[in-house]
Amino acid sequence: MTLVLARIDERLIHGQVSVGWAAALEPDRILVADDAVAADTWERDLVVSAAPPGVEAEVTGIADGARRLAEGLPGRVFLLVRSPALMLALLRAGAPLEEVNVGGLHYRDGARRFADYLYFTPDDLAALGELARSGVRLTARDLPGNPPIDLNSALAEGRLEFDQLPARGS
Amino acid sequence: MSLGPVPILLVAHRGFGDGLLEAARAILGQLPPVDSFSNEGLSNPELEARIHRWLDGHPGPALILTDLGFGSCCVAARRVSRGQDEVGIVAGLNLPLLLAAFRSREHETMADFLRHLARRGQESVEVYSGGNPA
Repeated sequence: MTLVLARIDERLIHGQVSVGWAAALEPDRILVADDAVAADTWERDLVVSAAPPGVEAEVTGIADGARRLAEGLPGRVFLLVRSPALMLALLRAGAPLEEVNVGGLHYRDGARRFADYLYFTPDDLAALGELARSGVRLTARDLPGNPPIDLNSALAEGRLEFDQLPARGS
Repeated sequence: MSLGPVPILLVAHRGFGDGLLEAARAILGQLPPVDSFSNEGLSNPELEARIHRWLDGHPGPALILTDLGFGSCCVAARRVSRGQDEVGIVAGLNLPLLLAAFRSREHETMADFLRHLARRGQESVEVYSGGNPA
């Protein structure tokens, strides 16, 4: 198995993933790990229907996803979860994660801005901190053609303190 | 019996929806009831809430036009309208399709209307090579 990208994106499969990243990475399979989506057949079909042609997509729960990633899936695998907390849960459940792309967390109540495409809550930052302390390399990047931002350095240098981040629109 | 005037919502990336409405105004002048917003900067729950509010304000048959079938706008619209057969969604929006969408009165049911829009959108794509039909 080649894990071509492990991405945190609250929109899961959408235009940036199906066109931007899929064209650059040419995955054979998109694996969405999400207990809520996996438990709802209609939601599961909706998410899978957004995958690009020729790319197999499936939705699993966190525990099942971690197990399958640990065992190794065939081909080039693109992993998607919707939040840092779920990526951390996947790691703790045994998924072999060395590098994570933080690609899309848009504004929600209580979140503060780090980039146009990244608004973090305290829970997001706590989970990212845990991922970094576990040795995972964290990179912020919405699209493959845009410059990456090293989040491990941002965390280490205190640039990801919630209180220091600007509120929306400020 | 006619479906009557159907309120329309465009949900698309960046300024695509507003741009299409500007183009439609240049062709038709005053437009029937239509609204537009972008997914720009909106989380999925926020985008869904906006679509939900719009549908709440337009009870009965309604049409949502989106750009990419696999994009967040269409996925959000599908999620919000789950189980509401009076709400039609068309993905793959282009200008001929939008102009056809303003003529809902010519159709009897939402299902007929949607089938016509799908056909219109597909037929509106024409290709030429050297100035001649390819």
